[in-house]
Amino acid sequence: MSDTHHHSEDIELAQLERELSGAVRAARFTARELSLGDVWKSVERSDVSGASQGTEYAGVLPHASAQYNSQPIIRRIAGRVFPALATRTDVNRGVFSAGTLPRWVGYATLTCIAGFAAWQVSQLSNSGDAASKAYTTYTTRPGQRATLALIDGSQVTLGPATTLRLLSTTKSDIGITAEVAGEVLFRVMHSGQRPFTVIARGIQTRVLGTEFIVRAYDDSNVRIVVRDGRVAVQTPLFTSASSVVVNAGEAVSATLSTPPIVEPVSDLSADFAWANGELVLRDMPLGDALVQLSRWYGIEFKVVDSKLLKSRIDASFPSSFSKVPIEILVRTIGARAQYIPGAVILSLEE
Amino acid sequence: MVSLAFLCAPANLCVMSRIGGDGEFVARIQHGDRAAIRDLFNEHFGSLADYAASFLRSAEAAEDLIADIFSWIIANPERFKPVGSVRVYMLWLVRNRALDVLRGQKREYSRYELMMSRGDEAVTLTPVAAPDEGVTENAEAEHVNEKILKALDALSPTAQSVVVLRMRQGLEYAEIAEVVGLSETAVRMQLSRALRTLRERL
Repeated sequence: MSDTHHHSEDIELAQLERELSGAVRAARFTARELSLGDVWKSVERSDVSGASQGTEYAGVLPHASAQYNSQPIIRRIAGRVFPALATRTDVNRGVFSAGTLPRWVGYATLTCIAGFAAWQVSQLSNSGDAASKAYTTYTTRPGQRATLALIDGSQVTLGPATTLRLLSTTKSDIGITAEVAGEVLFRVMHSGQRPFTVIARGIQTRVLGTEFIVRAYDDSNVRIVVRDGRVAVQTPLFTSASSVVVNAGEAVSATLSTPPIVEPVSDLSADFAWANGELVLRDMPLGDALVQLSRWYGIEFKVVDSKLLKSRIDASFPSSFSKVPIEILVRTIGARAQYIPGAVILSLEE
Repeated sequence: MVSLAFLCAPANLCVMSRIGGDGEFVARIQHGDRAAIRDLFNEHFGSLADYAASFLRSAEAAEDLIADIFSWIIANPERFKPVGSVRVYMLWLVRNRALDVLRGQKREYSRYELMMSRGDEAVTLTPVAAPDEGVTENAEAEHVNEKILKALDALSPTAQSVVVLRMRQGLEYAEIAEVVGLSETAVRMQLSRALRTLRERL
């Protein structure tokens, strides 16, 4: 009984298959054919023995035993190394030790706005599968800065407490994407030849020219300043058709929820000086200034009396810590500084 | 099995000797023999591409997935362990990887999360690409294709896989069972139910 039952079911199944095979086989899942050549090329590119920059590669880990249909899927960090993308100087994996920056680096300060809105990346790169991108990550600690050179000749300088993640996708015609949390200076070479995009906190900057800063230490404000060339800035709220062009000598402040506003910058050096080893603060509330100083020196700056926070300051600070500019600063605001290991404490002068 | 191979008609000898020599081919791959891996790639690319595309609906995403798998093989050749048919194993790899991709990659980037996260919120990285739009050449064909894709999407992911593996990859029920992790009986049931559903919708 069960045999015949099975048999008639089989016949019915075979019938269904015949009926529907045409339609199912006709379905097209993608807009274009997949390219065998391109895929193999990217496989080869990702294989560089010994040049791994700390990106672990692990994808699917198939079950070791015969029953691989039990499918234990072990997810681990996946990424493909794209080692040719950057050269760097004496680095422990992922972290630079900063030295003094060469002067010329000051030309281009790009503050990349690191975007965690990865869907921006996907719109740009048109690929969308993060797992298949290769990331190289560089991080500076507070008090550190670092420079690296990219394979295409671009120069990148990281400010303190900054993370830069360079992405490259497997498609050869998609260029470099940089994600930044912190402040980064870019000097981009040959931007016309392949797209160079900087993403920070959801805000995308497409590089059309050569030298700009993207500054994005937090969500509340992302600032892009262009010294040379021009960039197109897009916030996630708006379509790419409404991206804003920022020319040399201009800056834009952007957030995730407001349209970017472009304004001219009277003194570019204030924005770019950090790359030359000098932190320049102009007409800044003390609270903001202390946050920046903490980052700059890698020391905590604190206040005892909140009254002090009302002060605004104009000052500049060298990259190596020195009490001199701090003393000048505290005197102007009527405070005194106390120096303890790892911190500077400001209190009201009695 | 090997000796049987050489009894086959000469026309089949190439294929059959490969089957008999499959063990050797696999061994070469496990030793990281790049030429063997390249052969593996060339031989299976088409079928893997189609299967990956059926999951991810995007050419770029599917290409990335396949590249991922082969990069993994090159990086970890000793872990390449098909039991039985290499083809079925490769399809199984694709399926695993595609499911990972579709589930999102939040957990795959724990190292980056530490550096990039704000507070305790894990970073959401690039989601799977939006499906390709305008897949076919003209509006009419597009409409028909949409209908088919929609009908397929009415099925559960496993049922979709079963249908695709059977009708586009031509696998036997037992082979499908290996790829999707069901019993052969369950595969038949899924398939017949799925095809009935499709028939209603098409």
